[in-house]
Amino acid sequence: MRGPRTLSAAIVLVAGVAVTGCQASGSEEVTLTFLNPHAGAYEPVAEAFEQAHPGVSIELQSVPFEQMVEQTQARLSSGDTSIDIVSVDPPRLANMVQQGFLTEETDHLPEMEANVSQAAISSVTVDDRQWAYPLWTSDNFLFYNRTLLEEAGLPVPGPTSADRLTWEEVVDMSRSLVDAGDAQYGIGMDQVDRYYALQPLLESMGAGPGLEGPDGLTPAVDTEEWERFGQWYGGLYADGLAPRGVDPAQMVDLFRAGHSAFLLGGASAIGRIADGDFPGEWGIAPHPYFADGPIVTPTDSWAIGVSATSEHQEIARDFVQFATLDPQGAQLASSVNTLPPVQHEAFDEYVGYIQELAPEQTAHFGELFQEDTEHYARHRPTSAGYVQFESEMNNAFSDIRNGADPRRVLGSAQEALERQLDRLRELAAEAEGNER
Amino acid sequence: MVNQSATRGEARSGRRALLLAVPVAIVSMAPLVWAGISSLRPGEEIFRYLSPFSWRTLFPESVSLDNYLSVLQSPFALALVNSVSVAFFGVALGLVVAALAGYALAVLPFPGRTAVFAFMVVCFLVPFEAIAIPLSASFREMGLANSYAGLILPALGNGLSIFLLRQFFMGIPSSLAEAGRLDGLSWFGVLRRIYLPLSRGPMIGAGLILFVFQWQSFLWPLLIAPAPDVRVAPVAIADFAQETGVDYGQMFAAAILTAAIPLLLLLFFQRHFTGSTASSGTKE
Amino acid sequence: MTSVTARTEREVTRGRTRRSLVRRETWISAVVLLLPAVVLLLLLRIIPTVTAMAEAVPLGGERSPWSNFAYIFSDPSFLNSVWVTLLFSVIVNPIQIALALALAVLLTKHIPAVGLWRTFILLPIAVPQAVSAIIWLVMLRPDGPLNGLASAIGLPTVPWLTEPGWALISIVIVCSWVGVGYWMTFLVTGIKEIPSSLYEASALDGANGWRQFWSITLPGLRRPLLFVLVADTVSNFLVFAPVRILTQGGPQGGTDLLMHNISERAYTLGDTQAASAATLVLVAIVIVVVTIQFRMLPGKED
Repeated sequence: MRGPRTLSAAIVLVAGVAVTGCQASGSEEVTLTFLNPHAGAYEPVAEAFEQAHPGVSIELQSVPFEQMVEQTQARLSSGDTSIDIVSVDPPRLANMVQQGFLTEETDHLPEMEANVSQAAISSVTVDDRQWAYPLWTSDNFLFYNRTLLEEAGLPVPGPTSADRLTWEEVVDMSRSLVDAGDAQYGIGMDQVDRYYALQPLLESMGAGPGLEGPDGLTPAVDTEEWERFGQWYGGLYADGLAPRGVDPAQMVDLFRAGHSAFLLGGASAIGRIADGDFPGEWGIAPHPYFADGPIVTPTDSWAIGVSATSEHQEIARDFVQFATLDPQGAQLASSVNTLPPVQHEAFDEYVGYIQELAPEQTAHFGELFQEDTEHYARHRPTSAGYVQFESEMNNAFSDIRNGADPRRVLGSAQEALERQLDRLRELAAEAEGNER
Repeated sequence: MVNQSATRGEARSGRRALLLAVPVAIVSMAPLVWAGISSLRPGEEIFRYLSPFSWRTLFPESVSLDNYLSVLQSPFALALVNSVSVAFFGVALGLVVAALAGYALAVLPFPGRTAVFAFMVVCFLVPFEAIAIPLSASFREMGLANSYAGLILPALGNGLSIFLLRQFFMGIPSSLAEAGRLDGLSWFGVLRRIYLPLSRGPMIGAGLILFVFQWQSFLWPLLIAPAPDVRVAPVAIADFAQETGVDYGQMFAAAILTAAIPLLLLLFFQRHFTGSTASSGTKE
Repeated sequence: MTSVTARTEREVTRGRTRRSLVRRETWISAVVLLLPAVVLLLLLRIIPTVTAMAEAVPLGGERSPWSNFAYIFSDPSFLNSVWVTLLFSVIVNPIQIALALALAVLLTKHIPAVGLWRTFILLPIAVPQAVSAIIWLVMLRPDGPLNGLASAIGLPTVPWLTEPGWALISIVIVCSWVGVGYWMTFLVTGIKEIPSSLYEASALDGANGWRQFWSITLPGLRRPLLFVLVADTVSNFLVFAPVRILTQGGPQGGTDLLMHNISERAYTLGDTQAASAATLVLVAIVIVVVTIQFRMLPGKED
């Protein structure tokens, strides 16, 4: 296994050197600037690339995750030529493409197809064209506090997709634990109130994604199904099964301190839970679904694109391809924050790493992840208005969680979205008019 | 006689005041003390004893300096050095600009004084965040991106510190300025020989305004100086809050280190507060 | 006789020239002293503001130049944030200024280690806002230390960040925790500039502390107090980081202060035109309020 991978890495590296060799002859030093929200994450991959490409240095400009959207917006919209490479959150891709921030990468579709899944490619596709390279993917799991469940005489969830619990079962167990005083809370979510985590629940309950129409600019969040979900979600908190007023960032800590019986969380939680001394035993089960609905799981994570204003697009593209499509590069790019890479071989490597972290809990982790990705994963809507949609919906879920009436909250979210997306269309039409 | 009884009365009211001041100081420090204690704990212990509230909430099981060691080995250390340098130049240069302007507005009789003052006031009404994007674009065009100059310059146009110094300079009797002028001092001489020596407290106050603006600055450094070698402390601290989770222990350790520098400066300058013209406020 | 008249005339002329020379020197001095500040403020504040204004009022397009204002004024979230901002100002400013003044009086008394207490109260401003807000995010959790302490001593717990009314109060608390010590510092400086002879004389007249406060401290503090009033009001109109971290404007828009609303438009949604229009509205409101403050404070300037 190791042999061919190293070989292919070497080939890519040599090819890379050859390409740069041509460029570098006669040209001087090049510095590529990479704007990203993942402090420290790309240091190994940047170093490897620099070693293979003498004369090229990569400056990693990391900004806080919370500020990434605004920094991208502020710097790329003001025509900042100093950025060559930029991290891309797939649901925001359509908006970035509309603003002309990224180079088109459709010519490199064959390389992508050779290394990553169709699902990953579709996350970087807008209007049947590709605009970035997918780097990581994601999935959510149901973490459970085994000790709490066993002490209360509740069944311990199984690890494979066939053992998947329904939300009804999870809520029942939570209720009996909280009512008996065995656990402070039943369920926490590491992305609480965020559309990313709640879209699979909505769709499993039979609700639509919330953005409809060919261009994804028609909001539909005041439907009966959405309201039903709102009632369910608000009920979790009203009944004390889940904690109000706890920030997403504190949710994993809540679980790992033993305060909640379940955690709906991503793979990154595994390292954090395995790292500390968890009070008792814990385990990982598949993402639950609603009894009457389909299984739906979340997917996608960050991609990397080349800035349309970059003055070194070719060498920048070489780096992006190395970090995403090359097995060794993708592995290096995922080695610090240990998010699952989409590159096939790097993903296998990643699963091995996760299994080292928590051997008992992750015996079926790899197959579960792949099954979810292949069969149940649902992308977030592709829309130039996704930014508006997501920020409005995150606020709406937060209001529902805090006890506001779901019907009223969703009704006013619908109105606000209609107004904002109208505005978006109007401004886009005007921008086009100005160009003409 | 009278003096003595006044002193005794003052001492008594001072003790009574202490009974009020200490609780206020404790309330003010409590959140920071909690953060400080948390920074001495290993990661998962911060939240384990958060609720229900118990003595363990305040007293860690074990104390470790690991968070401080790893914070000081991270890029935060350089960022803190950058913050200190940028704040130093920002305060020093900003004080010169503000003292000159505040003095002119308070003391010099010239036509249009009120209009210039109104102009300065309007300048600090404009929210800096709202103009940061266009300003950063033009800074970048001027080649000021990722430089100390780019970080320091915006702090120099500080209407608030000008306003503060103007207010205090107006409180100094104009007869002093007139006497100085009759003695043949230039207007600048009056500032240097008469106003500045009488204004140690207000100058420290203006310095505080300039310092806080620089020290708290987050959005601007993020826009204009994101390169690793010129990042400032608030930006580097934000690194501890990643998408996949927040390292509270390291974040709080970094915050305590960031607050420790002004703490030392303030303790030093408090002594100066009491040692200046202030002696007129305290007895003899 | 003639020589005397000639001399006086000469002196008068010389006096006049000297006066005009003096006036010229004053004028030149004023220009030189003000030049650095005016140039910096023009480049760093006024020109970018004009740029922003140009964006808010698009000229020459198909749309009406005022369409951005029409848009924000038809947007309930903007109108809500104007209302929340005014409400917040009415609550937070009196509280902060009264507390700052009371503490300044308290901490200019003969207290042992007074500098230490002043420093402790001022220290919150030295903590980066992002971190102090995160500390409060934990403090104010429903099961956080504040509620834990309350229930430990038998008080009811409070839904700090989860109910609109309490969330606004939480923002008031966090901003005051940061701000009161800061504004206090300028008032301490002001009180120290008041000659102690005034207090001694009134003590001889038998005035008590309360009367001294009204007859000596407050009048003597007029200018620093005007500064604190205006500066505090302005800074509270521009509050933004605590909202962003603690509540994101919620619940139900209850803490959506204007500056937060604007930054959401500009940075998250990328609608810089509406953001600029909203900024101009905010600046207009602040100008009106500050003008009133300058007019109202007893004892006009100059």
